[in-house]
Amino acid sequence: MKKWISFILVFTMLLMLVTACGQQTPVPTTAAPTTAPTEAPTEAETTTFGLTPFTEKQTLRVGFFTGSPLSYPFLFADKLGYFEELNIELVYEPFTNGPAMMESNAAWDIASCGLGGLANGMRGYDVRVISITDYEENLALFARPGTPLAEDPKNPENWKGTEWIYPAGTTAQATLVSALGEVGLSLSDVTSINMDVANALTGYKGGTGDGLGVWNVIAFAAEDAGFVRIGDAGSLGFVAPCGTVTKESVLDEKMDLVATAVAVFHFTVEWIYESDANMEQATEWFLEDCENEGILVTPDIAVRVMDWYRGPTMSEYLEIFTQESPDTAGIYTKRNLIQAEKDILVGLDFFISQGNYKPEDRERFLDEGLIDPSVALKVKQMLDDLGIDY
Amino acid sequence: MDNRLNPSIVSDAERIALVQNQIRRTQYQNTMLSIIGVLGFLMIWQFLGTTSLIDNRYLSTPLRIINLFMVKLTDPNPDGAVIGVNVMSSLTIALAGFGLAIIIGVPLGLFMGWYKGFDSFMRPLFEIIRPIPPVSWIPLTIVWLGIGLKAKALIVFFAAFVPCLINSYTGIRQTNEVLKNVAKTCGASNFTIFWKVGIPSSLTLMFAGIKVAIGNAWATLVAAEMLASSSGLGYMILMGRQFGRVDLVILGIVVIGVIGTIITQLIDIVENKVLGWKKL
Repeated sequence: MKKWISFILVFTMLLMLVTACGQQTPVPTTAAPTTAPTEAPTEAETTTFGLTPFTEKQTLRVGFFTGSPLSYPFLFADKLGYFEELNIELVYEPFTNGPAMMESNAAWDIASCGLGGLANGMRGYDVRVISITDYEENLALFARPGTPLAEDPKNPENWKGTEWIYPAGTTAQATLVSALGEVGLSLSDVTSINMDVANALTGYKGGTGDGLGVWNVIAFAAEDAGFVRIGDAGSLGFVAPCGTVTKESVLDEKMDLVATAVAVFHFTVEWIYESDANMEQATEWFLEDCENEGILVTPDIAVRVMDWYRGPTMSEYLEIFTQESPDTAGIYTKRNLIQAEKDILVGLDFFISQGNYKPEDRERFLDEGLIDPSVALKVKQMLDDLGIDY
Repeated sequence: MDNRLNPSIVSDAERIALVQNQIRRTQYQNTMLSIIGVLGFLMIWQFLGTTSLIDNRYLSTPLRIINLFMVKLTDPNPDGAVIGVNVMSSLTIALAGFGLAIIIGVPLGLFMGWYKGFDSFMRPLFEIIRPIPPVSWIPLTIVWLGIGLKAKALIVFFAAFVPCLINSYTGIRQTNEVLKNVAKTCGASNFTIFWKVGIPSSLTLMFAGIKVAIGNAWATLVAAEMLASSSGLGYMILMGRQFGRVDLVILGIVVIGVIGTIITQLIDIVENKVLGWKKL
């Protein structure tokens, strides 16, 4: 009898252990339900962009990509008091890695990351892309000074057999493939070694590899270390959109809050580009946050990072998420695609060509509308209702 | 009366056969219990996945993992290498680091345990190195050794070295004083006693340390392959994470577990051969 009791006890404990390790159904985030913005026009006029403040304090958890400008307009808006005047409190969850951010999707309501993270999130966690936050051009390729590759990157012979260090399965790899394609070569003509960006530069400085593929702050650090930039996403014409994602449950419960936050984000992008003084202030805050988060950035690098930032303004954002046209690749014929879908598909098609994702994933993302215009439409409606120009 | 119960009636041959039969039966029972344990675990896992008690996006079922394993035998996607290449790549790193840890750690532990002067000289250094997490060596390793096999093997070495040394050290220090005195009485030199008494006495703990070390070596493999790689089981896990493929991550984990078990079994066989005399 004792044996049976022990067996049942062990079995129950095992079962509890296994089920406890499973993913729980996402608990509705924060107890306070979203309160629709008040309709009082007098209050709306008091806020910077004319948006209507919430009657009750709202909390929005933001998955924040530290060290990359793609997330920073949220922080700038916060510093400028744009969220406070709308009665919104942002709670930041910092990340430096898209896949980790997606795995931790229970920790945020909205989150911003690069193309690799967007694809990962849509495939693994059914997240919805609701905004494009940056078209990253500073995905750069470097060669050692004095080498044939640095002196003549247009010559395919200088590329053949070279050893490249970069984070595999990311837009850095896509940039390298684009550069190889420019000279009629493919990834199989070079040797690839996977390393995360920070370690890649350390390794490259240590003498390993002929070429280096990195992005953002690290790309400028590589430049400052004397390595020669032989190409980047901007010059190669490779579109690398970064975006904001959310979950279906959040859209169901907090649509007004999410739409307001996204609207503030794109208005803040406009604020950045509005004047040199604003850009300087944004750069200062970017540098300050990087220093707080332990990311090695010099003032000079911070200036260059912000200078390369290509966040869409409000009108651009609404255009990207509302204008439709047929699939450029001609693969998806069920409906026209919005520009955001087409931009993301350029990168996704690269991943598919490398065997990282499957054509079925592409089909599913589009069938299920995971690049979701509902927030953009809500923002548009909100601005139209309030008579705000964009 | 059953003559098997009466020692005066049972012949030696019968007694040996009886004991051997009992051992075989116990071994069979233990094997069956192990198989039932593993199968039971897999069945519960499959049940939880099939009935969607756990979302398949977060935990693939065993059948899907087996299916993926079959696919990965020939298909390099999505990480760019078939499973055989990944296994060989990881084995090379793990065994290089592990082998180095045995070659350096075991003799060092034995000498430190036997020669007090050498112990006083080495121990402070070892005590400083011992608590340092193997992963924290990564930045320095890149600078020192680049990002090739040597660098990755060194990370694994740091993880496997400590148990090899500690167990050899402890094992030889526990050598029976009576045996040492007998050897001394017979005129054996200190080195002869070390070689013929100390080392054989330490073998049990030494093998235990080696088994812990292989576990540590595999555990550090993912971190070592994070350093830099284009293939390997750790790399496959990382790529699974990169592309949101939980099934690929689990396959990598399972293969690492299975290979670790096989290596431990091989060490057990060697241990039984070497320590057979102790079990008499």
